[in-house]
Amino acid sequence: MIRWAEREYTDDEIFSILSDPVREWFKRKFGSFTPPQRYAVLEIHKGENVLISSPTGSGKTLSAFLSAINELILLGKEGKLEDRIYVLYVSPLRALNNDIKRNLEGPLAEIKEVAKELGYDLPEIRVGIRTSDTSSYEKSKMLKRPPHILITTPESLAIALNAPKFRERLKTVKYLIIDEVHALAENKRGSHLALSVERLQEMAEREFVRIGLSATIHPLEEIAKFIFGFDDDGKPRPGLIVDVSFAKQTEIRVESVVEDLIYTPASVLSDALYSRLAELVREHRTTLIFTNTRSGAERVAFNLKKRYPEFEGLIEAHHSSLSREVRLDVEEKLKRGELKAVVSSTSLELGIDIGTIDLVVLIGSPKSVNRALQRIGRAGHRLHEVSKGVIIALDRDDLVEVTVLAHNARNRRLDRVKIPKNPLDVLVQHLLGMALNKVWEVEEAYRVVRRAYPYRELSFGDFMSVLRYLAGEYAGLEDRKVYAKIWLEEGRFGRRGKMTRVIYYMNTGTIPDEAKIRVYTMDKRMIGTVEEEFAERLMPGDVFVLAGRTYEFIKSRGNKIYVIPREGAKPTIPAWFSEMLPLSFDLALDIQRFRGEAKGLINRRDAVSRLMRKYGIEERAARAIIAYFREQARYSTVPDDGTVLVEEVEKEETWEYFFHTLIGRRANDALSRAFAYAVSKWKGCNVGIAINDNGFLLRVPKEARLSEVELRELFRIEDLREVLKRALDNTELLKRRFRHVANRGLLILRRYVGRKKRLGRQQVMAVSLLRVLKEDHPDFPLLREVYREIMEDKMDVENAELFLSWVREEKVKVVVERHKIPSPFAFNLEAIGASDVVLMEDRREMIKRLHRRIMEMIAGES
Amino acid sequence: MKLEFLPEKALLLGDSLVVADLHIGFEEAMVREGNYVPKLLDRVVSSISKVLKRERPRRLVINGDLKHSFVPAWRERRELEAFFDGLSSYLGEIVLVRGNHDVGVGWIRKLGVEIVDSLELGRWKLVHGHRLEEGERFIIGHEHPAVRLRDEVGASVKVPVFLRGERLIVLPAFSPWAYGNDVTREIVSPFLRKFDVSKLRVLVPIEGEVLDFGELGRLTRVMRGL
Repeated sequence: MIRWAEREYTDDEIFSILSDPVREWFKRKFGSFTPPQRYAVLEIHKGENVLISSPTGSGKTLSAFLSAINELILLGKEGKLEDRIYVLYVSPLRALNNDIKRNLEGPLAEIKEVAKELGYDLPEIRVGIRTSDTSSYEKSKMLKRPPHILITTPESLAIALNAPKFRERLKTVKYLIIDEVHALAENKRGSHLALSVERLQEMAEREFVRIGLSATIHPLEEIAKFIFGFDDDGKPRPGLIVDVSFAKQTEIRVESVVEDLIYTPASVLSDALYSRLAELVREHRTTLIFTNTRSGAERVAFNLKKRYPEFEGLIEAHHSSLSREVRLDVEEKLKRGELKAVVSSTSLELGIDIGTIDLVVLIGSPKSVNRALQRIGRAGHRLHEVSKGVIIALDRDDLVEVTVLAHNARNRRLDRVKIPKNPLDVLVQHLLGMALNKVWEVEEAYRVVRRAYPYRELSFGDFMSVLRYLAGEYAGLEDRKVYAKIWLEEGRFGRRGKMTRVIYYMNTGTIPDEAKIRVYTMDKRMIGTVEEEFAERLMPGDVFVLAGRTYEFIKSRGNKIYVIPREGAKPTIPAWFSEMLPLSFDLALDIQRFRGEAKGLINRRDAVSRLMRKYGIEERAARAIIAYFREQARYSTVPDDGTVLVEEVEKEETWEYFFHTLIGRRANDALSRAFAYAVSKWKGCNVGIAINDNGFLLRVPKEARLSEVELRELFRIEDLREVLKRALDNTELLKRRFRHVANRGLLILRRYVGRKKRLGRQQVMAVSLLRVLKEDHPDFPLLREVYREIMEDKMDVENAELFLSWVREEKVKVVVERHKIPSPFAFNLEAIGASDVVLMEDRREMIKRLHRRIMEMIAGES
Repeated sequence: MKLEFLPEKALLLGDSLVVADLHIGFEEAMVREGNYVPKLLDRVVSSISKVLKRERPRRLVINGDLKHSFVPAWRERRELEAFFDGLSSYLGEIVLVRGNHDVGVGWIRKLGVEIVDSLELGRWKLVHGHRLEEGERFIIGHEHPAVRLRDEVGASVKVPVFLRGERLIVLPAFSPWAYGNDVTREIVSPFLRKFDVSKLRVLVPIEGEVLDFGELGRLTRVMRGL
């Protein structure tokens, strides 16, 4: 059974289990235990599985390690410390591994010193790191003399499980610590790790103690099950949840830097932003500023220094595109208190100790309550200090969003995480890994797999389909031997083929490759990189944005493209490959309700003060919100939790339809594509889509104008999943995602015998495979996986369905209006440009239509 | 001499049928590298057979890159045998104009295939196109030409094309695996650098017909506006 830790142990109780040097060291260094330590240390000592959720700076890492260190010291003292791995620490952040090692080696050395004072010698306790950076020399040293504490990543753990000799070393693990669980649970790296852990447990000498460490995340019961796993009866393994995420006080303020976010010109807005930022930086000792993008971080740091020379040398940018040296340098300066402010994208959100920060500023919505708390939690290093955060909204929708977000954060209304279910591509890798180690009974392997959280409900049929694929059963009979990576006979399976082991080593992992194309100016100066798929679509004359500047595409040569700077030109090609953080469905619904509430206020004279009071926002922000809503109400309708607004606007070449469905980008993604597919079917045309958190836009050619009846009909789609599945055919999204799934599922190999394969070729194979599999094997496991991944992980088809049911039940009514220009609420959607296109199903007809259209234009030109 | 562009990505030149870039054995090469690749050879064979039956040409010319791998392998040889076997009911002449991928194919002479480096048919000279040759009017392959088409709602599709000029004709790749090289962005064959590409007409083969999109230069200019 999973329980919530209720007992907070006293200092004396915890000290009583510690061996003398550890106790003495701890007393001198810290004196007293922090809340997570009080709840967790003794329980881990007793052998309980524990999930700890607590803010940064609360001694979380030590609460996980203390029991284990204590045990190692005890063994050392008694001369019983052996050369084997006792503790395995897994973190998704490879960059942090060295920090963790240092943070362990320091205390271990200090404890050794204390022991010496107390009159005895302790043997050295070794800490080792094993990642893809580890040399084979170090690895062989590690094999001969294993470290007592091993630090690794999920990917390196999977490989270690198949290292013929080293895996023997892993059998002795007694404590497994998984850090940064919040960064894993929601993606396939987490699914991959969950299976690795069960495989490790299966080969281990004993049940090890599992310790999970996480930042604010919800619901913790699910995360605990994810870490602890399940037994063979399908019941979660027992353990404790330590939730001290409330321990730290946070104070969040929402600001708008100008009165009017609609009509203020951009230059005035940025003047106001920088002057406010400068003010905040001056008022505080050290300020941490978050932007949502890396180029944003660069721009803010640059502008602050340019506008306020007093900050020269005192403000730095920090993001993942910067070199490691630069980042380390910034981190060191920060720790030493030499900087007034650091501007970061996401790189300083997690992990590393960054010293004393007394204010965190978020520019733009962080899109999730959890992330907001995580970022703001970086302020006020000590647990008892209040974390102070300011969120600055730069546009109208942003302001509304952060107002609700901050309100939810204050009330601890967290976003729910979604853990992927039965990802079959990840299962392929592990079943192959398992087959490489020994011959398995099918039933036995199925049991191991189902102990992992993501696969707890995996059907035997799905499991077998993966085994059958690996055994080559989907290939033509004569080719079976060539493809097969395992044999499968009489209820057993094992490895097949000489190259299989190499294939596993080189292709394990879940993060897809995205080849980067370098961008040069004509005089051969490199400016940056873009994704290969983006670069491919460019045509000479196209203008696009890179790192905040605009460039015109001239030509491509091999893996490079050449451009000319076009300062101030309007981009003709939107950068639609950068995936933005999605707003959660829960938060989106709260914003719908807020819209309803604000709508009720706009005619009242005390609207501003009411809003200020209830949502704790400053006056200027409240005024800006009320002005925005009044503007919308005057021009059109305010969509809210009871109303969906659909607007039709005529453009030069097209009709545009704005659907104000505030259900978050992921659900809108599902809904918009299904709608676009229906329109494409009715009208025989391609349909362009633009999506954001607040709604979506469909763009159709002039001859395909939709009537009000047709627009209403869209909301009555019966089988959303099926329509969506058909809408995905021929989309770039499906092709790209299928390549990712085929890569993970070892259908298309990323690397083979040291060679990395060109993405273009992988893509063309993916497209052909997709076509053939759809015709011949519609039940092929990786084909089903790609649809599942897109609909459930990338999109949120479930909540899109829920939303449609509300419209059907008339809880939400649809209002259709026709406008000359889009209403204020539609501005942001209009500015996006394009997200994707649903192409006509009949390719031949589509090309014929393109032909007619283009020939008309050519005729019109001459 | 009669010149007809066929929707099957083949060219009818007098009584000769010309195709280019078949890249037979591509699947085997991919399988050797550990991938799981369906075989499409049957489609290639049936597609050529269909045209041969309909058009009844006296000669079938493969304008280079009949096969894929630079390293001859027995599996590829088996594929080539299967390919010619599939065409066994065709009794006309078969000529291979050697392409840069066609290494170690001498043995197919035994199957009655003639191998040449270039072939003159009427006023046209057929070469694969990977290196420049002396001559006036050329028909080449090698480029795998394609063009990306756009429309007003933001659709973007890449289609294989014929390029047709007074002195140069470029054939699309016949292989269903060909990725297609967008000629508005980058060109591969030295022939295309020598001739003015913007004046070439773009012909798009689709099922049952070939659509003329006009000159490449003008097409590119118009689509830029979309």
